[in-house]
Amino acid sequence: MKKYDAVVIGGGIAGMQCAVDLADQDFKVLLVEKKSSIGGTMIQLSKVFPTLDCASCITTPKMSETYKHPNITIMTLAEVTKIERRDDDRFTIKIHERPRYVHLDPCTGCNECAEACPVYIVDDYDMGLGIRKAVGVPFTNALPPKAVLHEDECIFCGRCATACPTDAIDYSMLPQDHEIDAGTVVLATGLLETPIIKEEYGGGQFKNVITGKQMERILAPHGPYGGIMRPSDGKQPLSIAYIQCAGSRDFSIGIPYCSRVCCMYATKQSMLLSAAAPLADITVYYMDLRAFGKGYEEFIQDAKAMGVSFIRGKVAKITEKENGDLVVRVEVFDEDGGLREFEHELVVLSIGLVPKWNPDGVVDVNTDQYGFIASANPNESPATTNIPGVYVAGVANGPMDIVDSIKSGSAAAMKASIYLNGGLREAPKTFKLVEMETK
Amino acid sequence: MSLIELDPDLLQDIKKYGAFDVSACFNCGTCTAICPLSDEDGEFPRSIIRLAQLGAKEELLNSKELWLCYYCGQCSTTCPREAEPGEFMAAARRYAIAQNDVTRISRVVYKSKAAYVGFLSLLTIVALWIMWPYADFSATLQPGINPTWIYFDPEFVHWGGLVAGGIFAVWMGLYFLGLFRHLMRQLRLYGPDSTGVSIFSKLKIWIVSLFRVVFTEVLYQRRYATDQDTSVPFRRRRWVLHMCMMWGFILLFASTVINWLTKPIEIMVPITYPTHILGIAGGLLLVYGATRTMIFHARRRDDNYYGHATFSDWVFLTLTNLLGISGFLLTLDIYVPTWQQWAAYFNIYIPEWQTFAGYFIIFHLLIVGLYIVLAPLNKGAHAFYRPLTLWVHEYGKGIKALTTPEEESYTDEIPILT
Repeated sequence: MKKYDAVVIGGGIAGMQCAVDLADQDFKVLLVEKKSSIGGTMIQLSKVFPTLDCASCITTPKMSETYKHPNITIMTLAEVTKIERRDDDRFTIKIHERPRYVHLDPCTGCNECAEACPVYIVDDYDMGLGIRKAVGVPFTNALPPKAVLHEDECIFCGRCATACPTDAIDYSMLPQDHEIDAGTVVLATGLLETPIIKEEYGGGQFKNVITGKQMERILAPHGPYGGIMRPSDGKQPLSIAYIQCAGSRDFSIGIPYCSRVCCMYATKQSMLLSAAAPLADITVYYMDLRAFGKGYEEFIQDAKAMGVSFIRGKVAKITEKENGDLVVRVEVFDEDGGLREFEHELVVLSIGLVPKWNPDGVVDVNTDQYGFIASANPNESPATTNIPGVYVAGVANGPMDIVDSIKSGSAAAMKASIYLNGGLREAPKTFKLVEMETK
Repeated sequence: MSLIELDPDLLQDIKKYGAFDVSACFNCGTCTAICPLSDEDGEFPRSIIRLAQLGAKEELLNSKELWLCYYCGQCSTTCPREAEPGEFMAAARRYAIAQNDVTRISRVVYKSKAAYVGFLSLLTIVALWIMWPYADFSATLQPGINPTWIYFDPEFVHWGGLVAGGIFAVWMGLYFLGLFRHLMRQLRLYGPDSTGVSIFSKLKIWIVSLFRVVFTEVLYQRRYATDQDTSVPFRRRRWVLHMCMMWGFILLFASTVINWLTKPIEIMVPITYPTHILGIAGGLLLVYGATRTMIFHARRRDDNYYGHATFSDWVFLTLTNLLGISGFLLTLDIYVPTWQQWAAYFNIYIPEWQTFAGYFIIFHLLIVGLYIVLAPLNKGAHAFYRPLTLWVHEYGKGIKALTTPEEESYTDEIPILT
């Protein structure tokens, strides 16, 4: 049984921050990541609000720091199956590691295998908008910068193994189960975008109705289209609509809470679009703009000054026309007010966040009614869960933006560090779960 | 700017008429934008919810939008706050019926189940107490004579009918007083600015819009038909069921009136008599519509529309159904002996038929009486409110079309400067 001081589950921005902070204090950290590369959601983004800094330029150094840190071990394609707290206050953690079919040490990340591979698959890194090969480096700045083979789509033709200059590809790799002895556990399991389940918005059937994260990929410099185009016919849209609260603050889809990031990312994207598609009219339909952070309100004012029109009104229904254009029906609240229909060539749903990971059967932490891991005491110490030694960071704890996720990662690292030094042994006093949104 | 009077208890008052939660509403407007009947001329339900939240009682009671809604339930399904706007509109309509009822019985009828049952029982007992002594249930049917003249004292039928008619006339008069008030308020508030329109044009628009409303909205109910779920089979659609009930009622009413006007009342005619066929067709439609609607109300408790029937709705629906059923029982009972005679003519033996026509007549008269007394007090009132509101609405649209100048067409000719 391998021994680590801390196990961080999730290699997103919160998990990386937490791992680096712990490792800097000379703790041995194991970072468990489900995907083939660390980086999480943030590495997929184009720019960040409210500074409009390039997201990769902030994430990549952090990824690199995590990857190169002598005290951090990264385990990719791995999922935690059981976390047990022992009587000596340490944890036994069972991890299931899926085969990569590529040996990490010999692989140089040259991507010759992808050149040779005949199979094209849908690229989930590009949110389903682009394609990639069944084998290859997951994306340009992936870490570890090594190829991965997708066994479900691979036809095992052997071309990649022949093409590989270092013979790193090994079709006979098997899944591995690890048992780890760890001093503390941090859950930083992150988020998923709310799926488009609202029938009124097409239920995912309309081609030119995309989600915020898909727009992030379209806007990203290394994105799938290399420009601003719409999915159905590659036309450069001249009229783009943002629909706020499309997957949150809505009891009818069971997600009544506010996802906290959508107002700002829609504003950010509309600013970026004003530059990337200068001819396009951009409209944001909102119920109320929740610009709660430092510099956020000014950011929205900037967007307004740049010519983005903000219309108060919740879009009730989208209808698709034959040419792929979309008609939105909305009751507008302005001087004239009233029921209107607007036509747009591309509609972006500012869809919310839902938790990615369900701890049921793995670890006995409390979750709130929407599946986010609950803080034992949200006001006093948000990183603490009901189990001593298990801490939570990032969106696993509740919707938050990048700034808050990084803070949350550091906070969890601090708590974990205190625990590793012998503190925080008693079970925290658990407060009644705070309902995130009440009627 | 004019001041409006606010009633802070308005929302609480309306809540007594239905199960909704518009305090949760954050005024996003989803309900208005999803509504298939909302258009530039009438936007609801959010605007009406807002009135209730503010406590603008007069504006709410006089709003035409209240009566433009047919409660398809789409707003309730899509509401992000589960505020049940559709049910709110229904409750606001009940509230408006109660407020416009000058006798004030309607408030009690809507709010208290016990009081409604008591009121119904009282009416039934009084009606039976009056009719029973004049009835002779042991009489036997005689061919060619209206059974009412056989089973009841003819003097009682004559005078009783006149007195009952008088009472009903006064009753309806009282009720129409409320309706008249409502209509005049609507006109004052929503009547468009018609300055410059000649009296003849106005009269013309009144008449044209009346015809339009009667043909498209009363007899065909085009607006109701627009929001039908086409995945439901035709025979089960709400609009079809409603049309069945309404046309059933109209046919039954028409056959009674035509009978009364065209033939001596004490004569019994064969079942093939035109008005009888009209009546039977009406009865069949009525019973089909009412029965199916009742079944849906009983079964679909989770449905946004069918799940929300109140006790008063149930009473109204039951009475509607009984109207048809009691008529059928009576018809069956009266005409079966005639069939026996026909059967005898063809040498077919049908066993002796024990008639209960006396009891059935009393039952039918009781139901008709209750129906006429109760209809204006509960859901039945919509039969007057909707057409009248739509008439005013249509008139307003006509005036608006006349007074709004046509938009000048844009020409891109460059003016030549000399």
